[in-house]
Amino acid sequence: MSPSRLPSGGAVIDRSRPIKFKWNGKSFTGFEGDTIVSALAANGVDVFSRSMKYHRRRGILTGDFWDPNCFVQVGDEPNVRAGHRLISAGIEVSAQNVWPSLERDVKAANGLVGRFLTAGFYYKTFMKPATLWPKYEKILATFAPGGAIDIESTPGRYDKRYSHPDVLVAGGGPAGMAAAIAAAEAGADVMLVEHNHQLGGHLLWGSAEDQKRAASLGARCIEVGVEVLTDSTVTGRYDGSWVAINQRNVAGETIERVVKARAKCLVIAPGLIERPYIFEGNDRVGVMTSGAARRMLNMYGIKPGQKAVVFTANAAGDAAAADLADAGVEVTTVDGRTGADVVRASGSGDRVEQVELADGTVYEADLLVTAVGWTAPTSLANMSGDRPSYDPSAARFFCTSLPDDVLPTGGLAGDGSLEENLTHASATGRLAARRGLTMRNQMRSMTPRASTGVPAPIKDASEPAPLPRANHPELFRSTTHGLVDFSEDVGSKDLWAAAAEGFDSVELVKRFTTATMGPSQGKLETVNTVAVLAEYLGQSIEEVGTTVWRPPYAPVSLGALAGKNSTPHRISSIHVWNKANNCKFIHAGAWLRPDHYGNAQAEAKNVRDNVGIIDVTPLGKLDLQGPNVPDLLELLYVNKWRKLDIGKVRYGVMVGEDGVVLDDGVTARLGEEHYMMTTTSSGAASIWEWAENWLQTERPDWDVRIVPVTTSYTSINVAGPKSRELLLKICEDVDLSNEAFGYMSARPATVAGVAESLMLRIGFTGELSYEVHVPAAHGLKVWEALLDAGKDLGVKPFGLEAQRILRLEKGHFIVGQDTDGLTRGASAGLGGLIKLDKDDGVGLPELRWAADRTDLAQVVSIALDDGMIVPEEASQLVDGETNTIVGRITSSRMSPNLGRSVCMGQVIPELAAPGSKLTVLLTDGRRVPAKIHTDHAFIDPEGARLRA
Amino acid sequence: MPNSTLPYETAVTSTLSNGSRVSVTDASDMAKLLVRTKRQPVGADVEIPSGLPSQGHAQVGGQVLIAATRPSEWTILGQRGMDVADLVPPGATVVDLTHGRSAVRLSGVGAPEVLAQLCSLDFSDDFTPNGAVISGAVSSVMCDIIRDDMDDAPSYVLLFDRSFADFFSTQIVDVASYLNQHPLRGH
Repeated sequence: MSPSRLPSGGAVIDRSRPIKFKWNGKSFTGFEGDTIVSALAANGVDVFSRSMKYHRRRGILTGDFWDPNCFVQVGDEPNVRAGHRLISAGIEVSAQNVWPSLERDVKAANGLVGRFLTAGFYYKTFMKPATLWPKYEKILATFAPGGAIDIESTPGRYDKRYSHPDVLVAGGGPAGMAAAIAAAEAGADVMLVEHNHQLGGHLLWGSAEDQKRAASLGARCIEVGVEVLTDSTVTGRYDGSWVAINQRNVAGETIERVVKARAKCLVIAPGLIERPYIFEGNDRVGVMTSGAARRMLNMYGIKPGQKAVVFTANAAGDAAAADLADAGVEVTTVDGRTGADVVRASGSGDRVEQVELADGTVYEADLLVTAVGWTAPTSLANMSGDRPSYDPSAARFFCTSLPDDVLPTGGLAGDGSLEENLTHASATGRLAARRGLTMRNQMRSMTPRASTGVPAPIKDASEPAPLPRANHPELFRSTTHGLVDFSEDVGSKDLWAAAAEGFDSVELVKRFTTATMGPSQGKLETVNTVAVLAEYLGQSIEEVGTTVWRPPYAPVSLGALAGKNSTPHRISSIHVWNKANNCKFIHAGAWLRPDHYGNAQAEAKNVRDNVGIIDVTPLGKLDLQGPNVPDLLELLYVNKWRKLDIGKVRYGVMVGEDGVVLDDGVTARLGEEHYMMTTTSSGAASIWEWAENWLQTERPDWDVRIVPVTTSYTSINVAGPKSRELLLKICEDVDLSNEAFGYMSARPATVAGVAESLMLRIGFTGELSYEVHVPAAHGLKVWEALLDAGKDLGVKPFGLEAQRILRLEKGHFIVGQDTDGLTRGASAGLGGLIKLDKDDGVGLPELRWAADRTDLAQVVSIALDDGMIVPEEASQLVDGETNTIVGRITSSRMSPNLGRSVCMGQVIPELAAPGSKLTVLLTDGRRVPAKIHTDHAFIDPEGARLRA
Repeated sequence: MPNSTLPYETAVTSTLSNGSRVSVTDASDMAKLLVRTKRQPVGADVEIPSGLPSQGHAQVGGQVLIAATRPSEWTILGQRGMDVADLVPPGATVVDLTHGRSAVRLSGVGAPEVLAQLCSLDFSDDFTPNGAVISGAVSSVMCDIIRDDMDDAPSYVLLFDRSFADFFSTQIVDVASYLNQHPLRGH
C-alpha cells in the first residue's frame, strides 16, 4: 500500500495553503511546510530514486536531510535533498539518472551482475588493454550518479557574512535551545544554528506535548535575543574557533550564504542520528527508521503504510509503534531488547511485502520500521581535536576531551529525561556564556580601539552535572548481510570482502569500498561500517576505531563556497578613455592595463618614428622622507646612493638576501631629505613591505618614512623622438632642453595646466622619453591634452605589448620574465652597476660570492639567423645538433623597427659571449641557428636616442 | 605643508543615497593628509604628540577628522585647502594623499551589517565604538575604517586606494542595496 495523508495532524504543514508542483511531469499538490518527499508521499508516491550502483528502487529511509534515497533534480538544480527541501509553487521535480523512467530503469540490469560489482570493482577492471580506456571511460560516464546541470542557467546570488558571537550553539533541538537561552540570559551574544527548517529537533516529531515544548523554547530564544539561523548547518570548526555555517534559508534572492563566525565559545548540540539496521533487503521500499516514520506521521500528517512491523530496541521505536497504531496502522512489534531479530525483508518490485524474523516467523507488511540505536555526530568534536571513544553499554560514541571553548550537550553528552537534558543544557549554556564573555573582555583589553566602558558582568557558572548514559543493546547487523552505505550501494559483504583482501583498517576499508563517502558523509554509515569490520576482524568497535570526521559536516554547494563574484580590479583615471578607444586590456595582478589598441606593431613603430604615450600608472611609487633615506637606498639597491643630487634620478636593482634579482626601478631625489622611488608594477606592494621590513626589524634606529603613492599619481610615459616637442606644447614652468633637463633628471612641473606634477626623464623604451606623474584625479585631462596637442606630431597611445617590443629592441630585461628565482645580480648583465665595495647591502655577501663564480647562467640578447622566425618564449636553447640544453628563450618578439625577431634568453656562461652560436629548439621540433647578440640592445646600443 | 588646491575629480562610480537602513555616499572630495613622525623604538613608551589621538582612535565630531591609522601615523581628513599647520607636530612629515585615496561614508543602522558581509573584523560597539580606527580588507580592498557616527546612527568613513574606487563602490552599494531590503539579523 502507498503512503497517504491523514485527515488531521502535521505540526509543520499549513493545510490552508496548498501548493502545486510537478513530479516527473505530473502535477501534484502539497501544503506549505511540506518537503518534496512528504508532499509526494502524501500523494501516494513511495519511490523517489534509484540506487547508485544497482539502480534498485528507493523509498524513504530517514525522511530528512540525510536520507540517501531521496536525491532529485529540481529545475536546473541537481542532487537536491528531497527529504529536506520544501516545496514551492511551480517547481518541477524529477528523478535523477534513470532511463527511460523511474519505475522502469534499464540500468537496473546492473543488479543482475551485482555479484561482479563488488568493492574495488573499478580498481580491478578496465585496466587492460590501456588503449581501450577512453572507450571504457565513455561508457562508465553514462553510469555516473547524480543529476544534470545546465551550464546556460543564470547563476544565482550567493554571499557570505562574518559574525562574532560570544556563544555559538550548533543544533536547535531542546538542548541547543536551552543552552542558547541560558547563555543569552547570562548576557552573552548568542547565535543558534539549526540544520532543519524549524527549531525543535526530535520534539517536532514527538507528542503534541513535545511539540508545544519546542514552540515555547523557540519563542523564548527570540525573546532573549538569540540570533536564530534555521535551515543552516554548522559545517566546520577551524583553528582560532572559526566556525563555518552554510545558511540555506536566506531572505531575498540569495540562494545560500556562508557565515564565518568567530565564536568565543561553541556549544555542540547536534542531537543523535538514528542508524539503519543491516539485514537482507534493508534497502527495500518501505524499510525506514523510527524517526522517519514519526516525522511522516507527526510533522507532515502522513500515514507511511498500512501494515507495519516495528523492530525496536529503544524508546524511540516504542513511540513509533504507538504513533503508528494511533494513526490506524496495523502494527506488529518485534523487541530487539529481548533477543528477537529481523533477518530479511522480501517482496516484489523492490518493495517490502514480508518480514522474516530470526525464529522463522514471517509477517506480511508493507512497512518495516527499525529502531536499533544512534550515531552520535561527533564531527565538530573531532574538528576541535577530540577522538571520541565508544561506550558498548550505550552502543555509541562519546566525546572524551575537548578544549575549554567547546562544550557538548544533549545526546552527545548523554541520555536521561527531557528535563534532565534541559537542565544539563542550561548549565552548559551558562558556562559557555561565562567563557565567551571572559574571552570577550580579554580581547577588549587587548584591542586599542575597543570600548573602554565597563565590561558586561559575568555570572558565575560551573560545569554541568554529567548526564546518565542509557543502556542500549549493540544492534548493528543481523545474521544476514545487507546494505551499509545506501548512498554508495556498499553492503556488509563488500566490507568483509575488502577486509579479506587486506584492507583491514577502517580508513582503508572506507577508501577501498567508498563506504561513508557518499552525500550522507557517514552520518548513517560510519558506526555500522566500523561494527561490520569489527565483527569480521573479531575485534571490538573501540579497537577498530573510527574514521576522522573532517569538515564539512554536510556537503556545501560550490556556489556557496565561491560566494559573490567579487574579484577586485584596479583601474587608472585613463581607463574610461581606453575603454572607449578600442583598447584591449590585460590583467596584470589586480590591474586592468592597456595591452594594445588594435596593432601593437604599429604602436611600437610610431614610438620610434614619432611619439607615443602609455598609461603606466601601476608603476610602483614610494614617497621616502627622512635623514636616513640614502642609507636605506644604499642598503636595498646593489649600487651606491649617497651622492645623488637633488633633481637627479638613478637606476637601481634590488636583490634578496640570496643575491637573486628582486626588483628594479629608478629613484629620484626631490628635496634635501625627500625622494621618490619607483618599482616595477608587480613589485609596488612587495617592495614597500620589503623596505618596511628592513626598517622595522633590522634598522629601527633609522628615520625613514615611507608612504606608498602609486595611485596618487596618474603616470604617463611620453616616448619617442618628438616627445620633447610634444611636451613643450603643454608644459608651462619647466625648461625641457637637454641642457636644463638631461637624461636621468627629475623636475616638478605644471602639465596641461595641472600643477603639482612631476616629470622624470628616463626611458624604458630606449627613446627620448619623459615619465609624467600628475595628480591622479587629473590624469585623463593630461592624457587628452597630450593627444590633442600632439596630433600634428603623430602622437598615438601605445600599450604594454608595444612597450615589451620596444624594451626588447633596447635590451632591457623584465624582472620575473627574463630573470627567475635563480638569477643573481651578476647573471643579469648588470655589469658595473653592482658595487661590491659598499660597506653593506642586502645580499652583498651573495653578490660577492656570485661575482667569483663562473657557472651562473647569463641574461643575454639573442638573434636568430633567420630573423623571420619568432621563437616561442621558453623555447629551449641547445648546443649545436645535440639535445644538451644550454638555456632558454625568455622573451621574443618581431621588431617592426628592425624587420626581424629580437629575443632575450638565459644561457650557460660558456656560450654567453657575443657571437657565440647556439641552436633554438622550436616547439614544432625545428632546430634553428642563433647567435648571442653583440650588445644587449638591438637598437641604439650607445644610448644616443634616449640622451637626445 | 603639502595640501593640494587642485579641483577634485572623484573616481567613485556608485552611491546609494537615502537608503532605508544604510546609505553610501562619496566622501572623496576631502583633503587627505598623511602625517608621519619618527618611528618609536620597539619597547619604548608610546609618545603621542599633543593634540593627536592614540593608536586605534580618531578625533571625530569636528570639522577635521584625525585618525591614528598606524603607529606613528595619522590621517587628517577635512575641507580642501584647510590650514593644518597647528595640527602637525614638530618634526613630522606630511604627504598629501588627496588625489591618491578615495573615500565613501557608510551610514545608517544597517551599516555594520554591510561591513559584516564584506569584512572579517568585529564591528560591534564593544570592539569598534564611535571614534574607533582600524585597517582591514573590505571586499578584498584594504581600507582604513574610521567610525564617525552621525545622527545617532553608526557611520563609517572608509578610505582606500583610488584605483579600486570603481570596483569598491560598486560592491559596497550592491551589498547595501540588498541589505536595505533584506536585513541580516533574523534570517
